[in-house]
Amino acid sequence: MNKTIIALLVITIYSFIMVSPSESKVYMKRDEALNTAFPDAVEIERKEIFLSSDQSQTIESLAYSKNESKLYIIYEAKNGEKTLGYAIIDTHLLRTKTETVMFVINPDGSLRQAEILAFFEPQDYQAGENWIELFEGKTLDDTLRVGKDIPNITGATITANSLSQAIRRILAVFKVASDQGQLN
Amino acid sequence: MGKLLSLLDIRLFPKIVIPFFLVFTVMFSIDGLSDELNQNQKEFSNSIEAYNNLRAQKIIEQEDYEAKPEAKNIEVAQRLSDDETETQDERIKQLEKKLQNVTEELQELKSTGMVDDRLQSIEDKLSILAEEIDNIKSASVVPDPTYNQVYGAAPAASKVYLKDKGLSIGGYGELLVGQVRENGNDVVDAQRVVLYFGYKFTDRIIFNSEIEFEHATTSSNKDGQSGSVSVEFALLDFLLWQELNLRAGLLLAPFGIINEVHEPTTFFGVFRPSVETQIIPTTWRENGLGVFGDIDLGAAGSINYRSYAMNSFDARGFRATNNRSLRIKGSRARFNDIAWVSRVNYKPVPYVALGASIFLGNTGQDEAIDNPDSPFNGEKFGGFFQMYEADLQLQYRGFEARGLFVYTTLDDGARINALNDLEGDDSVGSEQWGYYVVGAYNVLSLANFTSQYAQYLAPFIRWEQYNTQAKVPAGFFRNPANDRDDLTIGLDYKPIPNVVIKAEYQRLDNEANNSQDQFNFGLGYVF
Repeated sequence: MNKTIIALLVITIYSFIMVSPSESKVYMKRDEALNTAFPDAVEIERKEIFLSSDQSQTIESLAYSKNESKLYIIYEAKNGEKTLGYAIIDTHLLRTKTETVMFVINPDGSLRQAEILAFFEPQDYQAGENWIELFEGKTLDDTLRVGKDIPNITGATITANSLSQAIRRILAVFKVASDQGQLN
Repeated sequence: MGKLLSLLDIRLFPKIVIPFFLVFTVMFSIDGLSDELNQNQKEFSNSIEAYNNLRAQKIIEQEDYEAKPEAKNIEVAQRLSDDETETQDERIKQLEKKLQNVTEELQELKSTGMVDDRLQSIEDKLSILAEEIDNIKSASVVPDPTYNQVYGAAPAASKVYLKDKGLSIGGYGELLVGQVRENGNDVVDAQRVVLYFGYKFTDRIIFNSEIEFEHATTSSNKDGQSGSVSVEFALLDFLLWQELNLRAGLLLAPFGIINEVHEPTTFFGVFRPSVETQIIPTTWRENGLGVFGDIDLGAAGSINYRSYAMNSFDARGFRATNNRSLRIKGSRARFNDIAWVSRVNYKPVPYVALGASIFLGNTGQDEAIDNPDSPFNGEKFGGFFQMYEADLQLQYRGFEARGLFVYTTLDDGARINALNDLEGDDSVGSEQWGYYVVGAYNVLSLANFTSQYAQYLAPFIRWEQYNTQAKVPAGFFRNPANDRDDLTIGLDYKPIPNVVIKAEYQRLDNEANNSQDQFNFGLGYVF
């Protein structure tokens, strides 16, 4: 009896595999992500930000995080004259593979949301939405460190650290770029 | 004729049907999967072609520009190199540097008042370069070019830019693990080195595995103990929806806390809690398949679950002191008995996690008792085994705590004793229970670190109580030595989150009043 049930279970599960969607829309592409972040935007403008060495060092000290690149693309979502917000799409290393995250920033420099657009480590290591939501509304004035104001993700420590570092770095990049007038 | 009839015996039916169905469905799945792989290959060469066309176009434009006699000799990095000796990262860094230089030269030119349309052309080139570099960096999310619509599974444009995108390597280990004993030998061990390999075939089909090397070598030491090499788990995930996915292979049993998450940086203490190693028994892995998923309850938090059908334990492994020999570890395991093992984790808020696990399965595995002295000689039995577990994990700022309770009950205890030739107080436990609580505080959470990684120093205390012979079958006795408690007081130091140095004092006690004091230390790492 036990075994007939198990046999049926095996059959059902394998049938699942056969009918499962083979096309992968697990994550969003860049344009789709930007449109989802700013549904009310009439125009999304693409700005190239080139940072000087000094600016890069300022970012590192504001964020307590290394800054590897001096080129950032910042997208500004506008509705006529009004700026709805900004987005930066950042790819950073986790264990041996990367994740690509879209960070949406309010005009005041606080984080509106973070959306994972691509993830190449095994699924178990991906940060859950409830954890990412802890960062919403935060600014560089907040500590934003795992083990302090942000709890760890058990079994995904590397992700928790990498992602929180990335958030601090992106907020710092935004602050430095906007303070020094590069967003105009 | 009699043989034919016995073939139709309903008990044999699943043994024949299951393999046949597996073969059929595997054939169908392979067909579908190979189609997918073929399509991926086709798309890959299509996108290479598209890329080459785009590049050829850019080269023509550049040649036109350079042909102008007044053009100043500004070097623009435009050919994305096919050179295999440069890594992706080096290339990106080089391009960014060149871009930086050109920007600076442009500023210079602007200040000397050169002609505007030439500057405009240069600025256009810079824009293109910035875009190309950005595309390399965020390759996986670059939208598909509009002139080619046939992209499918894995990230499309990324196939051009990312080479070994699928392979992921990691590992963890516990080294220099020492025990300094009051009574007995002092021992230091290269306890475990674990390598992890994963491969992401597509966004939906992922391979995951861990290979473990225990105690450094498989040959024996002078005390007759040897190490081992094992596949801790090896599985294929088939991702369907966030709430429901499939997994199959050699799986970690979803039971307790440590069994699924046991990197040395994730638990307190040099050794895993005794309740989890002796009763649960970690690291417990068997062959099976099942479902897993994550359910978002919005403001109410989230639930994640794993529910598997796995080959059950083998009753020939039941002992008085612990459950460790019950494990087959997925090695030519009998599945005359199949078990259902499940775990549910509920996180109402990110600081709190509640868990519960269950194991239900027969353990007889169709083995006949071979014990001429026993009244049960020649009998087979069910050996139904039930395990129930509940736990709580808390973390708030620097404070962490865990509590776990497990209870088991076993049928046919007397027959199992006969099977394993166990008498008197060597009897198996018809009931077992155990619990532990651990609390820790990271004293460095109060400090402010300016470096990228914060340091971590947490004193902790753990109290465990467990009894593997809480009850025994009628006619047998309990050995008070199996009614145990362990006290551990120690310190965990992490210079960076991935490395931990542990030291502790342990008092291991039991109702037979053989207590043992020891001092343990160890190093752990994870990457």
